[in-house]
Amino acid sequence: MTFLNSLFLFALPLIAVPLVLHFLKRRERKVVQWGAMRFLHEATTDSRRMRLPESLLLLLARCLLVAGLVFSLARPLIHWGGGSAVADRELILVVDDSLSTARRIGGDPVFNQIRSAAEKVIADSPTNLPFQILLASGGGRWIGDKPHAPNSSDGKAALAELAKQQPTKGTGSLMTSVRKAMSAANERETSVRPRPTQRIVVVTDGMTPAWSGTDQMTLKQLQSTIEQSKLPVKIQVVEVESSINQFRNLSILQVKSENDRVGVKESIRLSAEVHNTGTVETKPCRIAWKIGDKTMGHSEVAELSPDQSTEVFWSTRIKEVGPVAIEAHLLQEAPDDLPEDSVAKRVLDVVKRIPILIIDNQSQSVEADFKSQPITFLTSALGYDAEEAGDQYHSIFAPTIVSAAEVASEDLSAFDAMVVVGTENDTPELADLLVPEVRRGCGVWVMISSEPDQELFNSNWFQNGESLSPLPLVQSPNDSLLADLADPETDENENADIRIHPPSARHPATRVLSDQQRIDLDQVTLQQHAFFQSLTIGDEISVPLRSNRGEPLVIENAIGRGRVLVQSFPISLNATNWPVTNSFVVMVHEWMEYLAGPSAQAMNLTIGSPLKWRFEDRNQRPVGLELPDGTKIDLTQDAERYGVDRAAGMFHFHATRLPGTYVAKTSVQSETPLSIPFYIPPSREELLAQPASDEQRVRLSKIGQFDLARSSDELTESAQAFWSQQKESSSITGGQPIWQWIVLALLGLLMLELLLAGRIGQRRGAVSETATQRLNNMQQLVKTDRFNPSSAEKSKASRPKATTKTT
Amino acid sequence: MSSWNADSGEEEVVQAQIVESPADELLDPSVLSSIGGMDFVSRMVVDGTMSGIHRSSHKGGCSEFEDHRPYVNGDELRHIDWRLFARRDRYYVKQFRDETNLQGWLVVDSSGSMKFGMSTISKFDYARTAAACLARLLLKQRDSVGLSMQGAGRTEFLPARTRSSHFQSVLQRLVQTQPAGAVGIEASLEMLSQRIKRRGLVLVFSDCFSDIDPLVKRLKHLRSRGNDVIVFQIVAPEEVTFNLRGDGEFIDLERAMPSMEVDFARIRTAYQASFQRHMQRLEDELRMAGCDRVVMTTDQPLADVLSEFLLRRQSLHGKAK
Repeated sequence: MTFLNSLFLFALPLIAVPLVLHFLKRRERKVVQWGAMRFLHEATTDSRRMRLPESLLLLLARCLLVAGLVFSLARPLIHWGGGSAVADRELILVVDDSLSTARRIGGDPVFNQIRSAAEKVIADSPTNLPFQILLASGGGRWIGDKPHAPNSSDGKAALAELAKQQPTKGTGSLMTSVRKAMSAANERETSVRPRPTQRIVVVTDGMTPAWSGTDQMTLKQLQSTIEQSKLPVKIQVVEVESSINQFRNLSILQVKSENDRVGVKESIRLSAEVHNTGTVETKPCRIAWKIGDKTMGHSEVAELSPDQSTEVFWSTRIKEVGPVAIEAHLLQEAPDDLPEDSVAKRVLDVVKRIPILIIDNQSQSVEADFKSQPITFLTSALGYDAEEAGDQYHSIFAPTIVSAAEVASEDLSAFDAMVVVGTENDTPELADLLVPEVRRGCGVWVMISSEPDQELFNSNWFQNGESLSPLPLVQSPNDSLLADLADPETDENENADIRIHPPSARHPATRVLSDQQRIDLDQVTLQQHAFFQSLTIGDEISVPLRSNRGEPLVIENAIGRGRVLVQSFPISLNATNWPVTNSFVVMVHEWMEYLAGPSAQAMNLTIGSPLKWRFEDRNQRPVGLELPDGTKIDLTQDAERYGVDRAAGMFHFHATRLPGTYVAKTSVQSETPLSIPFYIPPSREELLAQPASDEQRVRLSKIGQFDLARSSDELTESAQAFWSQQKESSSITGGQPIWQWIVLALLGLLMLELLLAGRIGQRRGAVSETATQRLNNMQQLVKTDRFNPSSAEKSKASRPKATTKTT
Repeated sequence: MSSWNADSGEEEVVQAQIVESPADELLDPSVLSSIGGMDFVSRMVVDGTMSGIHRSSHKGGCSEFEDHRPYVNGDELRHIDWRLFARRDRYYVKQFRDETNLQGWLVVDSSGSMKFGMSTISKFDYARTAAACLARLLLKQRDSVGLSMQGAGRTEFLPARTRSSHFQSVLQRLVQTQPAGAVGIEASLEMLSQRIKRRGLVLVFSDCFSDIDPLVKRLKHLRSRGNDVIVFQIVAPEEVTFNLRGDGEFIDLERAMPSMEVDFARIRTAYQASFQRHMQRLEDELRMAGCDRVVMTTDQPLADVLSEFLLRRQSLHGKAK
């Protein structure tokens, strides 16, 4: 037995209080010198004398009352005896089912070895030891709700479930799983039961990503957690033998597209990064590009030596509107030892048009000037004549042109991007109207007018950094007389045209523009531009375009989900020749794509990022979701949780723990049932998995309570030692609390005490009868006895004698 | 508790007074005044050497004729009424009523149990006071008084005398004797029946807590010799009601026995039942033996009890007359 508040036990001597009181009372006991002993003897030879006197019972009750109170305050725990002690132990099996475990050795996946090793660990354990299986991929997924004994029905179900498991495409995060198993044990610890003693067995193939994120710091933390708090945990790692000499594997690391939102029939180019992750050279092969089950085309992949990669491209046009998953599938002659990574997908959202808004802010006129140069250039670049689509080609970006005065009456949420042409007619309201739209993801491209009113711009568009522009305008250095005098060379430079410095290919807004081979950005000259405040060190402002003099021409701002590009020159022929170069069209497209990007539905995701789908009507509303492992979720069951309880809104699903294709389906009963595919590729580390380094294994084995072994047999002995050690120590912790029963007993004792005390008090009360009354009563009794027929005969014999004598 | 202590304290005080009291103090003036005016009348005719108010069993002499009875063998011829013989032709013997003086015997129980007195004076004190009072009364009536009791390990016996100075020696014996031991009243009664010559009045003062049978046997013996036996059973009120609080130890006043721990309340009913059985049996036995029995509790005023008793005796005497 243990006590949670053992300090209270120091109060146990209080039991002596009733005892002392009792004996004090005994000392004051009356000593009666009594004459009529014969009656006393007769009275006490009764069986009653043998009974425990009530006063002793009362004393006992009082002592027990005090003891019970002290005990219940000390909160005792009764320990599980013998068989029930097993209930506090548990075996947690962390089963690595990451993509690397799908590697075939002699045709068999490594996972089969892992599974049988796990089953062996369970079989070797005591039959009544509860176990639970944690699948390592997807951040740890439990089989079953809690540990069950192998011979119980739940235990058998768990084993059957394990037998059905296949490797996933996920990354097995073993350290996360170990921590999860330990914290699950913490959760099982209640005031009623102690934390269960855990043996955690990790069965893995020992490939690197499994222990990824397991840096020195994490290990140290784990080590200190285990050692300092003396957790009853034993962690054992079984690394199944998985190294093979001849490992043939080509994997598609990723499929990329320039843009995930494409127009109908728009040419799109996809690229697939193919890597030889095996140990042998691969022969040339092909990639089949599929949409659904239909192969749309092929790309050739050259031979690849180990650890070499290549990128293959494929272009297509999609004729149907809606989200579509394009699958790249490697076709090899020789069998691949890991076919699971020979397939990759990219989900494209095919749309008819992307609405954009062009705001004419060049004058104060109420109506937009469709014919003004910048607007004409912009619409032409997009293939539109004003708001009318051109006959031959038009971009998916469908412009709507309004004047600044009309903006307030427009439904801005319908647009994915906006272009503000000119900053002349500055009203603070315009910028303020646009800021919330940027926040939700709508991109804004602001073109500053030629010779802008610097102060007006700063107060409306900069607003100390709270508006769209990240930097204020400053006076042009040309206006400075000092500059003229100081450096005569600047005059020459002044007369020379300003050119655009080749932009970086790394910035997504200038990826195509940076292609100097094909784009004639070098032909572009600027006559003048406004000057932004020069950047100081520490400013983290992105500058997609600079002049050849280093002045920022276009600066970028990020507000909420949206992006803002502020361009320091107008698009008019008297300011620049850019609109007449072919790079202008490229720039307009690229920037519109870049700006409209955030508001596009993200369908190529990473692990853990939520699936989201905006639906406008009931037909588009997802009602079901199919997960990569084939599980189907009926979204209507818990519609509010997934955001599909309304006619229009945003569907969201957060439990994206495994890589693969997630397909949300709209109601089949609707006219145009829609499948919305989402794709989460396997992590790059997992695809490039390598056996764990010796150094890492040494680090692991350094942690106390950590065993590394090649087979489960090697661990059995150490497990047994652990159990026997824990069995002894488990008696120190844990147990069944019994204080509530003691309190109940206390109540009973209290009742008994009250009853006894009341009874004794009542009986000890004085007898109201006086001796004379008593004697008279006796006489009365005797008389009635005389007349009692039963005793009449007795007295008959005696009466005549008496009478004869008296007469 | 406090009441207990107070009680026992009082008891000690009373006992101390009694022990050191001179012989005269046994005579409670209030008792004597209430009973002194009355004649102590025996229920039965008692032989007496002096002419008193008591009727003599002697028929003849100078005394008042009472009745005739048929002659039986052994009757003295001189008592035959020849006149009646002449009239009836049968022998009749003349019977006379003679006023003789009474021989009163005081038998006081001095066994250890008589020492008991808790809220009142001890039973022995009560008994000897009552005995002294009655002795004085008898002597005042010119009856003779004798004493038989246990004292200092042997039976004390004072022959009956009429002299008034004899009263002092009776008192002295009563005062000097202390109750102790287990020897009860039976020995005194035995002694008395051996020594007694004439019929008389035997006044027994005892709690009668000893065995009934030996007591009744001796009393019967005395009765059979024509003595009038009155048993004054003196009990303490506590012995009747067992009105004790709490629990305690009982020490036997008579025998050296281990003390007995009892919860008073627990055994009260059983005690009372046992006590009642004893009293009932005693009464039955005494009645059968033809003895008169007066139960006195020590909390009763002695004067009231004695005067009530004497009144009852007188009325009985009247009836008998």
